[in-house]
Amino acid sequence: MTALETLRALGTGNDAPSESKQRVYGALLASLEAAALAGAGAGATAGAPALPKPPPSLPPAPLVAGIASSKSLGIAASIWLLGGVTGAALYGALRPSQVRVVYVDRPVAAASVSPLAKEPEPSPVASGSAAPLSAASNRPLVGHAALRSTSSSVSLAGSQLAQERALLDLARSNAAQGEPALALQQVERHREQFPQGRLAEEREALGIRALLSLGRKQEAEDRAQAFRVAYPNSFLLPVIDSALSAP
Amino acid sequence: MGVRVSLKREQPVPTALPNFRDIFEAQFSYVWNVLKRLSVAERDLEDLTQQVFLQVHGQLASFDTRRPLRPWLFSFAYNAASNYRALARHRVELSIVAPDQADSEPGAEEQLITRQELELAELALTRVSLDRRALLLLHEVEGQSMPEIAQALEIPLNTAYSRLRLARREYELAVKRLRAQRGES
Repeated sequence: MTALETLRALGTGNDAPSESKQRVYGALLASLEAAALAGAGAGATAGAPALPKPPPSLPPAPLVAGIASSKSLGIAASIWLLGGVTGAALYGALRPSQVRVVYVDRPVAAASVSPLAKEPEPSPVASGSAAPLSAASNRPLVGHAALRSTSSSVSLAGSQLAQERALLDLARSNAAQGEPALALQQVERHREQFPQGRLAEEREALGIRALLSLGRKQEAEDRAQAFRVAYPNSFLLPVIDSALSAP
Repeated sequence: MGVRVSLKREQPVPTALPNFRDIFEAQFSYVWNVLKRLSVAERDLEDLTQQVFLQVHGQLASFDTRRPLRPWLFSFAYNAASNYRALARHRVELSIVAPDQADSEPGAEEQLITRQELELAELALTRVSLDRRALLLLHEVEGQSMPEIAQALEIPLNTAYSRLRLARREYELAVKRLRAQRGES
């Protein structure tokens, strides 16, 4: 057999790992949802920034902005002057660093920065157990609604999607680590919090597989039946069927 | 009139635009393996496959349904892999796709030899430059026609033929060198 004949016999390769397929599909769904939200945001707010991305989890910018604001500079100048009048030379020589810390940061952070700074994006990496994630997942949404009267529904929807994704990522991670009970717990939490969530389809598929891993085949079959009715064209159906037919 | 009907039948007939989910379901492994054969590292395969399908989703409306799907998908994968390999940190990565399992069940010795040959072919492929490797994969492995390949890769037909000729030479040379390293004749 010549080298070229061998090459022709290679074929297009074997099937890719089904877990990878499912992960990529989940990520695709999330990306397409996010893109759809971005498009909706652009249409709703002409001239405004069009990307309603979830806020970053690390917010250093508000602190810098606070230091630079005129209010904080005014406070700083006043305290600095007062210190100079009442014996700055002696005090400054003894404890200069403490004076600087007190007059700049505290008031500004409390007045205007904290609402944004406290808005975390739920992260499967950061949340080691189910309870903290559940607690964190509700608070930011309520906080937004109360504090930002001008916040758009698009931002909230994007934030909700991030929370949904975080819950399901955690469930998937639990399943991958051989913890189907924990995975099912996350799935049920998602169902409680987002019964009609954007990632409901993926949630149901994860739940069915978790039930199968726990040996609860009848429940898995019942849910699979409901899944077929709800998502007759789902890409995940073959994955579910294959899991159900496995011995 | 009969002649006209007959001629019309020879034209490629446009079919309905395929559903994205169907494409994903049916072609995921294909895109995955193409990326792998274009030397995308294992750890980056999911990201790049996702990237390819995102682009496919965005461009699906412009897909010409008279054309075969795979060369079109290949072009997305090829562009993604080219950009990926342009980053210096990825250049040394090599991937080998497991060859298809043989349909028949030959004897153990024959199977071993065949498998070794296929693995050698996969390895030799990685020694061929990316633009020429694309020609080998599309034409020799998949059996796509040269005009189709030229269209998918957006290169002139003559360039495609010339590239294929060079690709074959480069590949055969790589096989020869690998065999020599293994002490084969």
